[in-house]
Amino acid sequence: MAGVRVGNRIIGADAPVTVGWENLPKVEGGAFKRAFFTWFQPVTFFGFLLFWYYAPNEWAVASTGIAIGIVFKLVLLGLEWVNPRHRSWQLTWKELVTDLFYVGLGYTVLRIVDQFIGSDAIIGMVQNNFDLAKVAWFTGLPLLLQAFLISFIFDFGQYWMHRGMHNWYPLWLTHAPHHYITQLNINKGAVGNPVELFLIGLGIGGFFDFLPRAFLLAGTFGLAVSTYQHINTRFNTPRWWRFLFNTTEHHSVHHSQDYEATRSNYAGTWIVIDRMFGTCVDGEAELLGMEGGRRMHIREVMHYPFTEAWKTIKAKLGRGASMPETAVPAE
Amino acid sequence: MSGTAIASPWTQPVSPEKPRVNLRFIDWIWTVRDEVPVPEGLSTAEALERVAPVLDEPDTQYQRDGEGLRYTKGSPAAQDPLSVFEKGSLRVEDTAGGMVLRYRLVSRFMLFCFILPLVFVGFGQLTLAVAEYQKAQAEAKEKAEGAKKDEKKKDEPVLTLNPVDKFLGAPAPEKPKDGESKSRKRKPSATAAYVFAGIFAFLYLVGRFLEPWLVRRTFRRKLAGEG
Repeated sequence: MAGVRVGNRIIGADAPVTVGWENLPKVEGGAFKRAFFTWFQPVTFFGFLLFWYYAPNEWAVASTGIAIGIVFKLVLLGLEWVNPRHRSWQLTWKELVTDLFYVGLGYTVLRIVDQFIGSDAIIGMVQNNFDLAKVAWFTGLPLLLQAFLISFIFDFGQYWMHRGMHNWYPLWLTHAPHHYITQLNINKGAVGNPVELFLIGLGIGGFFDFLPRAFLLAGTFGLAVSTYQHINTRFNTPRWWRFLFNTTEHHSVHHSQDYEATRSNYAGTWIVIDRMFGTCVDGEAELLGMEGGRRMHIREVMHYPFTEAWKTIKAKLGRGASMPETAVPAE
Repeated sequence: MSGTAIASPWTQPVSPEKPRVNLRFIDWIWTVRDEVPVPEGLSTAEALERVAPVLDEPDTQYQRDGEGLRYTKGSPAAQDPLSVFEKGSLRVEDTAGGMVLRYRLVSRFMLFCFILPLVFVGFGQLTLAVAEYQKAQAEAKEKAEGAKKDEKKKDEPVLTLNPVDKFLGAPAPEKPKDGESKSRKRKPSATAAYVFAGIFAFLYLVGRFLEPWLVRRTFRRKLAGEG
């Protein structure tokens, strides 16, 4: 496979990757269908922003955000059914149960862990020891600017955490199981080893409880942009959107079976961060995963970082020198 | 196969006509037994030839076994039509009503889904236990600190709206009412765990009916020579 030169790299030498927006298929069908899948993303995005901007105080609370999030994801599951990007990514019963298992872990066990050593503990410390009056300069900024800054700064941190996972072996071991997914669906973002989910979850989740409106507005970027990373729906995404924001096309390149392609598109929401650091590849891929598309069992996802670390340590100490190395670093 | 290996339901040979006696009342949880009529005029070998391509999937081993087929799957691909059933056997049999393809399929994943509601109820109970522990810790800490805490208590800053937002009509933030700041801390709750337990119980029922129906449809189509 020849691949395509993107900057200094050859993309698509190991597995097929379509590079360049002009080479991607468009939504097919009648005028209504084409208009719907062209306008759905920007209309819902600006709709959510308007809602959180003008919602009465009694509505602008965490529980409203959770309810909207659940309903929106159900709508997106419906869109996956109606207009799938790839038939080979169609959601099956087994995939749905698997994905929801990881989502469920995030809402239950990881919440408990977070209370002691994760985001909740950090937030509690901030609430108890930090004088909010000192950040009055920030909370006095226009709401939309606050929301943009919260979202962008958080995603900037996530970009480097994610890039670190692809370049530093111990972090890679926690992230590798997520790269064994072989198709993209709405809840696939939750699939991975709990250690990684915990690291990624060191975010703004807990802030919702005491939170000003700007954080709810910032949550819109997560819900109405970042969620599309893992969707199996074909959209005619606007040019400005795909320049600024991450899309399922970008993320499919990141998950492709091509090694070089996986080392791109690290941002969760703002793909423009990848453009800033030269790691953006515009395009899409259908063949996803590792080891030729081997689907990893839940059991293996759970123990992989620990067993692989153990194998590596044993090999380094010389006792398991003949053991084949199964975790390819930084893939 | 050794005697100890036979003790495991996962390593025992799957046979359509001989279910394990001691598990027969519960193995419907992870086992599907069904049959599909073989079109008239088709021989046993031809029927198996038509069904065999369903097993031409990655990480799948199968072998002809007299008038039947046995297969096992390591890590089936997501779109494998038999991805839910990691093991199974199929046999063509002559019955009073004509030739049928009789099969028995075994699914670890279905058993996993069956158990998930219990697991999540357990997570709910764990959440409540942790909440109790934290409450006891907080009360003990409060007692120890006593009056000190009152001195440290400070007013929450009042958030102000930027003039741009005032102009655009965004609602002004409200000052928290007395005692509200305490109640705004997230209280540990088992609700999410119980909701997921309910979802998985529902999904098990869906899968237990849907997946056998899909497999039956696949076999019927293959035997009819479609697709």
